[in-house]
Amino acid sequence: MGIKLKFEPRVRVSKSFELFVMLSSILMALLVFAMFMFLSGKDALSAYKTMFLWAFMRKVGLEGTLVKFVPLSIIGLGLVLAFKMKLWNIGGEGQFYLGAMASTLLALFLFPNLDSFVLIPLIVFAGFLAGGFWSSIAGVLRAYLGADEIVVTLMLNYIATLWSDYLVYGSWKDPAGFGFPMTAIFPESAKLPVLWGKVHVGVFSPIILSLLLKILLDRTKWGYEIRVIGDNPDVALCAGMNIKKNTILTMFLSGGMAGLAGAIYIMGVQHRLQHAFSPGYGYTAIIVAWLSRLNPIAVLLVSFFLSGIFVGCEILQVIMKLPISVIYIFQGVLFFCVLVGEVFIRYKISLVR
Amino acid sequence: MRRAVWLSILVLTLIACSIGGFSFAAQGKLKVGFVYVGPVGDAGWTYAHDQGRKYIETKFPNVETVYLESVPEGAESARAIEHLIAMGCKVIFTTSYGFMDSTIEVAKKYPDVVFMHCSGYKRAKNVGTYFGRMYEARFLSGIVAGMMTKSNKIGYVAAHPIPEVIRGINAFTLGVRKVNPKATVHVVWSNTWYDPATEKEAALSLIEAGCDVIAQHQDSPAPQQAAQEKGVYSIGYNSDMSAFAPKAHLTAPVWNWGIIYEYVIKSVLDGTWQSEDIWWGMNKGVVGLAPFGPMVSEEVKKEVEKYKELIVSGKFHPFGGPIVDQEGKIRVPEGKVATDKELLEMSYFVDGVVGKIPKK
Repeated sequence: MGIKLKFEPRVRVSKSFELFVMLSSILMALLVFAMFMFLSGKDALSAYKTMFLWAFMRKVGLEGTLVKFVPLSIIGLGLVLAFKMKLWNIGGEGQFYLGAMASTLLALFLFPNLDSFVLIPLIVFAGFLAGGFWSSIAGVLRAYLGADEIVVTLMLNYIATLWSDYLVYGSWKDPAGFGFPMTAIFPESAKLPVLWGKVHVGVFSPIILSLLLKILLDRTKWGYEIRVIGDNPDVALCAGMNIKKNTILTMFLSGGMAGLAGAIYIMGVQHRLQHAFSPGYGYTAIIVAWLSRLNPIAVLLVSFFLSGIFVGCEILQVIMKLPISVIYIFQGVLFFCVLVGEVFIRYKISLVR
Repeated sequence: MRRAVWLSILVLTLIACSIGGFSFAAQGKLKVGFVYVGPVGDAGWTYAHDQGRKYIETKFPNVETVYLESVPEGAESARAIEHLIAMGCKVIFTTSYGFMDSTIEVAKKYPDVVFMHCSGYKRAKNVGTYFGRMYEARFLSGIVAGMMTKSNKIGYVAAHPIPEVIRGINAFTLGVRKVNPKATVHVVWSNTWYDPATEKEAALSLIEAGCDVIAQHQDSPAPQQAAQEKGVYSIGYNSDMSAFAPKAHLTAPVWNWGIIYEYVIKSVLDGTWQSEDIWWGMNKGVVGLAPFGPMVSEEVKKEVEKYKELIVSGKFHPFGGPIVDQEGKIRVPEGKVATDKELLEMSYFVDGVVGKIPKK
């Protein structure tokens, strides 16, 4: 006579229930970690205070949060688009790299002498195309051969980072750089104008892009097709929707966004291509897309919040003298709780005898 | 349901708002910050720097240190440095080449903070650079490997193809060939600084190919463990790695960063600090060898001791000519010694290395 857990899929989920579960998962994570901290003799409350203050109220921290917010949210938006169609593009990192590499090619080698009002839009466009090219490889393989896009996009990540390494260790290496694996610094014309500290004009792009994506998904026929194909490909097929074309196009746009993020990041923050320049934005963006429950507006909030957590965690190391492993534990607990919350949103769980 | 939403928002806001002011550390102490590229427990590069940090804490009671570990390289490392400055650090050590631009950039904003960047080449009025002549200790470890090998094939798990790594491989090979002209050094690139799984694989592939001594450049002790498992010898790096492979570990070229850190902090405290390029060697004790394993014979130790004295006294330079590269071209002619610039830009393998530097 055992007691079993019964999972029943929920038919309708109200917005406020989603929000409630989301917030209580975060609260749960904070509690679990506080217990862990308490057991190891640390003061969790002051850790949270420090994190919050530093990431959102202090200039250095807020700058950092905004700097991280830009690439994270743009890649996240791209992933939302693909995930809506149930295309699991996990190649954001590689597409991000491709965008950065295309930008470097233009800024340092093809058009170093162009004026910035021509060069910057050109680079943004090139970054978009490069990222889109990279993801549409997976799109084409999926559309015509049925190849699993998870595997293909994941593998393309490795190819992209190794390709970039090949360039920065090889022919793109700064000739005046004593053999260090980095290119020369971009000309001034290829740097985005700075608004405040390290925050550059690119900070507005996620907001614009998220509105565009929202309109695309909710208000256009094509957005409707994407949702239908995602929810039920058979119905889509019967309705005469072109699944192949949409697969490739969606993958192209999704990767294009990541490439665009790469272009903006490298022009706004990095100013040169270098070995391992991305702290894994393409991967973190998957969490962003997931946490925002594929809502383009939520992507902005989630990526801002997550960026703040990452920045706040950095300062915890210094103020609370916490080792980085404890910080990884905190981030792990947080993601875990949110994913558990996801289960509660999807299923009604009850005990049955 | 709506009420529950408001309740959870309220609780979260309460947590966020229960804000007191910060109280920063005791006044009057000199605060020193370190930015590390890896975790302090890596048993390698970062661990060695962290030993140096602990050393200055015991050396100067009036100095307090803080660090940030596993900081990714690239432009965003600037924020890590600024965190430390916001915490009141007046001296900052950035310990990886990828922090170079950030160090220079932040230094411009804080002219009254002293910055020291490890392994780079860019300096400013308040930015100095420091590094050690690790090739001297590499040369000595090569002598050990050259005398201990039986198959005359020595494996070298190389990190990234940058001059520092190439210089180490060359110095090691010159040491090997000094005592054993028949031996060759086989290089495999892992293209990692810290990735135990990949590095272990690379070491195993070298052992498979018949190498019976394994040397390495990465920060993890994984190649040592591979050697121990397969019953061959190994040469560690960065710090004494014998705990990870007691049966394999012959010795390791090691860093004693504390010596440079002590010198810098002392000059800051005295008010005599000036931006300079510190590149110290064995004579100052910045580099050296870890204690020998029990399998290393007296004969080997004597040979090492002989060259150590010659190097320390300046009578012998590992890169003294003639230095011949893999193609037989003379890179340093007889009677000459490689200049510092040549050492810093080294991009060729010496004769005796089997392997290739990835070409442009």
